[in-house]
Amino acid sequence: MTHSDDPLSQKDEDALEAFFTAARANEPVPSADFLGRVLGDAQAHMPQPKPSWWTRFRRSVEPVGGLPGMTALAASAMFGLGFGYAGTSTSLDGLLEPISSVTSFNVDEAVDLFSIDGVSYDDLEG
Amino acid sequence: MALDAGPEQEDDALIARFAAGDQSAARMLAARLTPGVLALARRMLSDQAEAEDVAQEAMLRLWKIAPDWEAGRAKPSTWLYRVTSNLCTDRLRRRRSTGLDEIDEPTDEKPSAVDAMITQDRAAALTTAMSKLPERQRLATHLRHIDGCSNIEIAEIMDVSVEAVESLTGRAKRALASMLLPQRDKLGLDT
Repeated sequence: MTHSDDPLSQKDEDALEAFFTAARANEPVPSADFLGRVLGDAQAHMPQPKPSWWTRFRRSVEPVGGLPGMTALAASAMFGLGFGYAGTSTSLDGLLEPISSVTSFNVDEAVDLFSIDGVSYDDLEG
Repeated sequence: MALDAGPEQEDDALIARFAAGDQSAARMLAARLTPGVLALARRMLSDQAEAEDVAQEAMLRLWKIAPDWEAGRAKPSTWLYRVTSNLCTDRLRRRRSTGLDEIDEPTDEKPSAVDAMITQDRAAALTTAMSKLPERQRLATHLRHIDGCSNIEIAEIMDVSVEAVESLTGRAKRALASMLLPQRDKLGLDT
């Protein structure tokens, strides 16, 4: 009998190793039924494949009307950017010039614009 | 039996493939990892049905964590053994609390017989002897001497120091020697 703290002799170590070797040779093999259950779990918890970046992009723009909405939004943004850029490089005066150049407005002349030959504005008015 | 035959990186790669939706990766992972997990659970619980439940649960946790698995952070086998040993500890604790620890004797091992193959007799004798070891000694001994884990891996699995692992396996071997070596004649070992 060995003392509780004594190391085993080499002979005892070898004898024990024979038991461990036998145990390694007799390890149980998982049954087909058991492996089937494990794989069933795997299938049930199989992560869905990650969608491509294009699919993820299309899904992300659905709230703004999908691709047509996104296209319109992008076009508007581009137009706004272009308009803003043009405004900073020139002056608003240039844009407003046609309006500011109108210094007087004659109502009679304006009415003449709508007149039809032989028919006066008064006739139309009754 | 080693838990898996290939490098750990291969298990990491298989987990990544499973996470990407590859069903064949699940089959390969199950083939590589399940035998070791089941053997450990059976060694700890001495009950085939319970061991299968635990091994299935451990693998289920692997399937669930696969999308978040960080390759290279932990060895899949080490992680699985840790989960398995924790699940076994829970079951053994419940057994003790319900007074069912008497079923600790292995029920699915063939009894030793004169005409049985000698390796089966030795394996059965070792199983019986190991079932009488304290839980943590049994766990450390199985991992070290049957599964072939290093002391460092066992320390990680059991969350103890390497010195503690050496102490556990040393005491276990002395206890096993006192139980098994008197039977060496019967089991075909020279005296």
